[in-house]
Amino acid sequence: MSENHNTPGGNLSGELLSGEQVEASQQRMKQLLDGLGQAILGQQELLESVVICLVARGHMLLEGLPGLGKTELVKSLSSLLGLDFRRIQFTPDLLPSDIVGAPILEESDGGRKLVFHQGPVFTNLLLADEINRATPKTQAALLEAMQEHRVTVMGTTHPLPQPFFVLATQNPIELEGTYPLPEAQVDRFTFKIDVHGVDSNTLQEIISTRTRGTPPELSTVIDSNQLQELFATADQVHLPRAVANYISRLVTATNPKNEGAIDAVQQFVKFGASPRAAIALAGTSRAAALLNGKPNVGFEEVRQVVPFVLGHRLILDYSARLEGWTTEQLVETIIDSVSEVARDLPPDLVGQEG
Amino acid sequence: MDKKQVWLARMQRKLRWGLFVKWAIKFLAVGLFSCGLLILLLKLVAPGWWPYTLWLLALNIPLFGLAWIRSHREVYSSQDALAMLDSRIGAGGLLMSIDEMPDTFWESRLPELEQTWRMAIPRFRWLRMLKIEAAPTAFLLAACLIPERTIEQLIPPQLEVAENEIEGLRETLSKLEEQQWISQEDEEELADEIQKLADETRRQNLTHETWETVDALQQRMQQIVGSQRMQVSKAQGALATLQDAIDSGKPLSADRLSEIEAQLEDALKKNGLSNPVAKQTLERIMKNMREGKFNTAQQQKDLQQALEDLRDFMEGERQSLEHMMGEMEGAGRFEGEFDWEEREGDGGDGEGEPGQGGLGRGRGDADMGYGDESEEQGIKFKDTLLPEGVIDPNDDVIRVSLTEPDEEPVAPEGRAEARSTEKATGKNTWKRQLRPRHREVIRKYFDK
Repeated sequence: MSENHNTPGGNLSGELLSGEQVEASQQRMKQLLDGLGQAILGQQELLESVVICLVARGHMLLEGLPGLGKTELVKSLSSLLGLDFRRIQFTPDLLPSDIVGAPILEESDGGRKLVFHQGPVFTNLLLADEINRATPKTQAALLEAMQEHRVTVMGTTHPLPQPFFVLATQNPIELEGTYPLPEAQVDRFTFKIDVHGVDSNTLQEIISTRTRGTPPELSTVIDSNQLQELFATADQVHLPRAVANYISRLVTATNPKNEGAIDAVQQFVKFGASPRAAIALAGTSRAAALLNGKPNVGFEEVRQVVPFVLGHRLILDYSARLEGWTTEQLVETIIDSVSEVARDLPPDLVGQEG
Repeated sequence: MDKKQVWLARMQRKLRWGLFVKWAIKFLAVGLFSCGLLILLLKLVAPGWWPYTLWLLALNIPLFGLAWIRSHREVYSSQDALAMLDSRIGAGGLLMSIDEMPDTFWESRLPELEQTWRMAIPRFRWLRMLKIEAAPTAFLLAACLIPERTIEQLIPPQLEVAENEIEGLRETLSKLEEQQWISQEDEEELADEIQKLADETRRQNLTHETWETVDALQQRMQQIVGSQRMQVSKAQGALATLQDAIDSGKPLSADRLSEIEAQLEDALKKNGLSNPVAKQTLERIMKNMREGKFNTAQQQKDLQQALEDLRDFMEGERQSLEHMMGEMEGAGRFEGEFDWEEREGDGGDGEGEPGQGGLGRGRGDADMGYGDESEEQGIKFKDTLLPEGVIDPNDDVIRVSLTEPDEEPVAPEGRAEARSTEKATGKNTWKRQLRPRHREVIRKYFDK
């Protein structure tokens, strides 16, 4: 019956996580969530996404109007994790050296030599605020750091501290004087999360409990070691073959040149998601499963993270804008069109109700 | 085998049956439709074979075997079945994971309730299957219920006309035979001729030769009746001579009496045999006449009575012959007196002008006036001056008799009568024979 007992990808131990491991990891993630919830009110779904992306060691792009708490979210996260935190406010005159650092000529021991001065990228948690206001050249300075976790200056490669996360924000309005992120850089963000406003009750709570809007002081709930353990545990979350197949079919379905692509994709999508998207889906699904207290990934965890992973990776055709289609709508259509199991039931069979 | 494996096996079995049913329904639908089509074709081409075609339904049985083979080609993998079962019991991937990485702790977290597992097994959609099979089944039933094609014997109009004519000839011949006015030899010969004519008309279309044969047969029978009528007329003349002799009291010569006797005997003969009663009466009369036994009142009374009987007999014969002749000449087109008051197309004012239209074609003796002809017809049918029709001299029958000629000669008979220029009605007009030149003109007009 059990014909595939070989170890699927992503779980090198060859066995499922123990109940204690899963429970401990879930507990830590919930502590993180609770802490963030104290700072950011009424954004539970957003916070869960942030935690999932963090545990999956992914970079995050937050998009939303000013004042919604994007920066505060990142600052709170750094406080809770006890990690080094730096913030860069991106402006049009920002230079790459302002991010990665630059060699400075210094006199020492009777001589002069170039000494590399690290930029703000040398941190655990980097907040790239309003990233789309910098020029593409400056934005590109983050490419190697995000993907390779290192920077190379003057032929010398400098590794970044671990863990390293980039949490960028961008403003969807005030587009004048901005530079939309190149596709290559957007693809490096594991999640892109749209930050929306909160309801009136949350607003009332905010103004009632916060003096001048200042969030409460947060203490560290997860140290660096615990975070590394959390990462390792997430890696051991089992990804069944059928779920991996579902992920691969989902990503393939975004490709308009795929024979089985649905009409909407063929018509409105110019370029589909890359294999990096599939990797991101698998990783974040594992983190989501851990948050749900499971030793394995299920179809529902995949569906939970798909909008954040695929949304910013679909390059839409101009006709999509004319027809009023958004990436969110397309992703929802793709999720609806791709069945969990590769083959549906035979037409003469039907699942029983309740 | 643990619980999950049992249910997984059930799931796989159900999926396998589902695939089999999918293909079985398709094949069966095609099979039923094909059977219906074949039955329809056989009913059309070979109607007698159709009851045997029901055996074709047995050919649908191997289709289930084909469906089983076909379904095995696309059987679900255990991974697919497991994923379906996992999804249906809401295990969130745990069932799949345990199958790949057995773990007793997590296996205990699987749903405990058997009802949950049972509900995960899909069930058949019987209504859908019935819907798919409904149309082919209805088609098959309709094909079976459609009546077989029957080949109707369509009789061409011309053949029907010929058959009517032949039937008329046979009826006439039958009446002649019934009345014993025709000899056995003549009757057999005519019957043979009529049969030949019937065979010919079945083999080929009607031609003018056919009509000529019909006419010839009719004329032949008319001649027989005419001959009988002439005999009866002569006999009636002879009886009148005898009556005159009795009334005047002058005996007739022996030769004359022999001649009269011969005439009367001829008239009494039917089909070669004499009427025994009438012959006895005749013999009694002739004996008395030869012996001169008609002078006393009693003798005259007896003789008068005998003559009266013979006259009645002859009159009856004459009337029958006249009626027969009338029927043959009218050819059944019109029987009885023509009612001038109720004729078609008449306005009722009693003008009596023929050819005034109505639903029919008007009277047969109407003048051939063509009104409102089209230009084309006018061009086609130009006025042509034709020579007057003459009676075929061959039709003049010169009859020799020992009696005095009749005061009123016998009306022309047969073809001569048909060609008469006198007014005629009905079939006489239809059968009026024309000379070839006249015929050519009429054919030119009516032919397209």
